[in-house]
Amino acid sequence: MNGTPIAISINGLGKRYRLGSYLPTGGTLRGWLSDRLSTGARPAAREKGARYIWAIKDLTLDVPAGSVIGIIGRNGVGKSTLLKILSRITDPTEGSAELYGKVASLLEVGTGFHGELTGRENIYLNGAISGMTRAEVDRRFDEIVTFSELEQFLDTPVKRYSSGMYVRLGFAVAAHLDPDILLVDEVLAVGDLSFQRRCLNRMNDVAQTGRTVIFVSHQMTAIRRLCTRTIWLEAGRIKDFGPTGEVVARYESESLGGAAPGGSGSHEGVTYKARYLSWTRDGTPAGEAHIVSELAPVAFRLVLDVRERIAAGYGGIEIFDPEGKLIWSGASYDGGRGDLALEPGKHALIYSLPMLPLKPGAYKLHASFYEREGRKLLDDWWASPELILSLPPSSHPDDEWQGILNLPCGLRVERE
Amino acid sequence: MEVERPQPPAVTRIRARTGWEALNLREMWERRELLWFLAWRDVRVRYKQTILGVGWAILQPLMQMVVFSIVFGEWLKVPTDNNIPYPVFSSAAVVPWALFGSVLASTATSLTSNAGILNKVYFPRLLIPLAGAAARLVDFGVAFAILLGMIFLFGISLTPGILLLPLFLLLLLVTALGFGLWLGAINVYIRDIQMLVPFLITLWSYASPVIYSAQSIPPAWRMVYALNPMAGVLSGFRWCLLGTPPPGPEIWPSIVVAIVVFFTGMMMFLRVQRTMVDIL
Repeated sequence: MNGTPIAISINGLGKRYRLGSYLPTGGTLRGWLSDRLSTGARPAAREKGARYIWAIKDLTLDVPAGSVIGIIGRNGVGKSTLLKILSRITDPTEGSAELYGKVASLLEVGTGFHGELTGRENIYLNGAISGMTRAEVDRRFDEIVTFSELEQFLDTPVKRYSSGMYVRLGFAVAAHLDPDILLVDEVLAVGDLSFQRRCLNRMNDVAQTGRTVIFVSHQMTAIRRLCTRTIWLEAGRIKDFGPTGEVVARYESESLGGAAPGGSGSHEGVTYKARYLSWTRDGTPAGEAHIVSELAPVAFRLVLDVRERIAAGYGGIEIFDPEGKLIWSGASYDGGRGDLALEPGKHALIYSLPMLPLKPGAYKLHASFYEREGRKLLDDWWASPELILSLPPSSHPDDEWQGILNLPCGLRVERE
Repeated sequence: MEVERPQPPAVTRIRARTGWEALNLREMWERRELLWFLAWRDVRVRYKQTILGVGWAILQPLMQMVVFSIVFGEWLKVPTDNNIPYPVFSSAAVVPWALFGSVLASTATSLTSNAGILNKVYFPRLLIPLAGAAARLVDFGVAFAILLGMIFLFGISLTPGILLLPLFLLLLLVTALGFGLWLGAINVYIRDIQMLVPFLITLWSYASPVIYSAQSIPPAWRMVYALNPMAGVLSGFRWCLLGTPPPGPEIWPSIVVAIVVFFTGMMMFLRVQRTMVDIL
C-alpha cells in the first residue's frame, strides 16, 4: 500500500454500551458518578453489576485516500455506531482512529432543519451545522437550490413541505459540502426514485474526484454501484472485507438463507449409482470459482462420481433466482447430443453458456442425472456453494426498477 | 491523477478520552458562525405564531414590575436606596434577573432539547448552550431599552457608573452559564434536574436582591449573602443604573464563586459531552 496516502486509519476500535438503565439500582451515588464520568478508564472496576454490549469490537482498518468503501450487515451490527465514532459524535470505549482531511458526515438528511423556518433559512442553518461557512453557502446557494428543484418554495416554511421536498432540500445542501472524507449513513432510502438516482449520481461524482467515502446502506444495488470495496460487519467485527461484488454476493447468499457453507449440497438421489460431488466455474482461479462478475462466456464444471457403469444416461442443470424462480434450464442432450455412456470413476460435465446477463444476487444451481432405461433418477442435487452473480448493475440504481436481465443497452437516434 | 495538496490535511484523532481536558478554543473560533446561526434560529423560532411576538420579552418583566410595585412598593413599603421610586428600583433588578433565569434554564436543558442534532452531527458542543444564552440576550436588549425609558421617565440621571455595566452583565452571564453547565451536564443523566430548575430560579430570586435592597441584609450576614453571585450582580446593576451605593467588598466573594462555578461547570460539560449521545 506504499504510495497511496491513507485517509482513515482505525486501530482496535471498540464501543461498549450499557444495557438497560444507567441509573443506580442500589449502588452508591459516588460509584455511579465515577462510573459515568470515566469513559474507557478502568473497565475492570466497572464490569461488575452491569451488563454491557460491544457494538464495535477490535476494529482495525486502513482506508486509502480516494476509495469508496461500503459497509453492509444486518441491523444492529454496529454500522451506525462506527459512523458515529468516526464523525466524533461519541467517543469510542477503546482504540483509536485518525482521519486525514476535512470530514463531513451525513447521518441524516436535513439535520437541524426547523419546521418554522423557510427553505432558504434552513439551507443556511443546515449548511452551518454541517460545517460550511456562510460565504461557502452564499457561493453555492444557486447550485443548491437548482439541485433541490425547490425554487418556488424557498420562502415557504419547511413544515409545509412534503417529506420528499424536505429530503430533497436536505440532500441538496449535503451534496454541496466539500469534504475530503464523507461519511454517509443510510440516507438514500428516502425520496422518490428519480431523486434517489440523482443522489447516487452525485455521490458517484464525489467519489470520482478522489474523495474518500464511507457509505452505509442496506440497498445492495447502491453499494454495488458506488463502492469499490465493501466491509461486511457482523456483531461489531469485520466478517469480510474485499471487492464489493464478492462481499455483497456472499452476504446476500448468507442472508437469503443459502445452503450451509462448506457442505456439498443436498442430494435426493434414490441410488448410489452416480452422485454429484462439487461444482466450479471452468477455467477460473480458485477465489472466483463460484462467482460470475463479467459479461463473458461461462462454463459450469460439475463433477459426477459414477460408481457403476451407466450405458446410457443424461443430465439436467437449472438456475433458480434468489426467490426460487426457475431462470434457465439445460440438459446434456440439448442440440441433438445423444445420451452419455459413463464408465465408473469421476467425470466432469461442463455446461457452457455464451453469457449470464442476470441481475446480481445469489442464485441456486440445481443438477440432476437420469439413467435412460426406465428414466430412473440417479441423483438430484442442490449445489453448494451457490452461484454468485456480481456483474455491475447496468440499469436503474433502485432495486425495484431492476429487471431480472442485467444487460447494458445500445442507443441510436434517427430522424423519422 | 491525485490532486496535489499544498499542505498536509488536518488530522482528526479519535480515541477514548479520559481525565479532564482544556476547551479547544481554535475549533470554537472556526465554528463561530454556527453560534450565530443557532442563536438566530432560537430567536426566529421562539416567537413564531405568537400574537405579541417579541412583545413577550417586555410583557413578562413589565407585569412583574407592576405586581411588585403594588405589593412590595405600595402595600409593604419595602425600603429602597436613596429613596428611588420602587417601580424603577425593582425593575433595575427584575430585568437582569429575567436574563439570568432564562439563560440558566436554557443552558440546563439545552443538551436534552437538542438531542436530535447532537446525535447526528459533530460540532463543538459548547456552542449549543452559548447560542441559547446569546438568543436570550436579544430579549434582554428589548427589556433593557424599556428599563432605560423608565429611568428617564422617573427623572433619574445616569452616572458614569453605567460604563461599568458591561462588567456586571458579564458576571451575570458567567454565573448563569456556570450553574447552567453544571445542571445541564447532570441533566443528561438525571432528568430530575429539568423539573428542579424553574423551582430553583424562583427560590433563588428570593435569596437575591430583586424585590428588596441588598442594604436590608444585616451587615454581619453580608459576606455570606455575597456568596450568591447574583447579589453582587444585582447590586452592581442598581449602582450603575440608579446611582445607589456600590456593592463594596462583598463583590469579591460573588466574583470568585462565579468564576469557580463557571470553570468547574465547563470542565464537567467537556467531560460529559464525550459520550452523552449514548444516553440522550
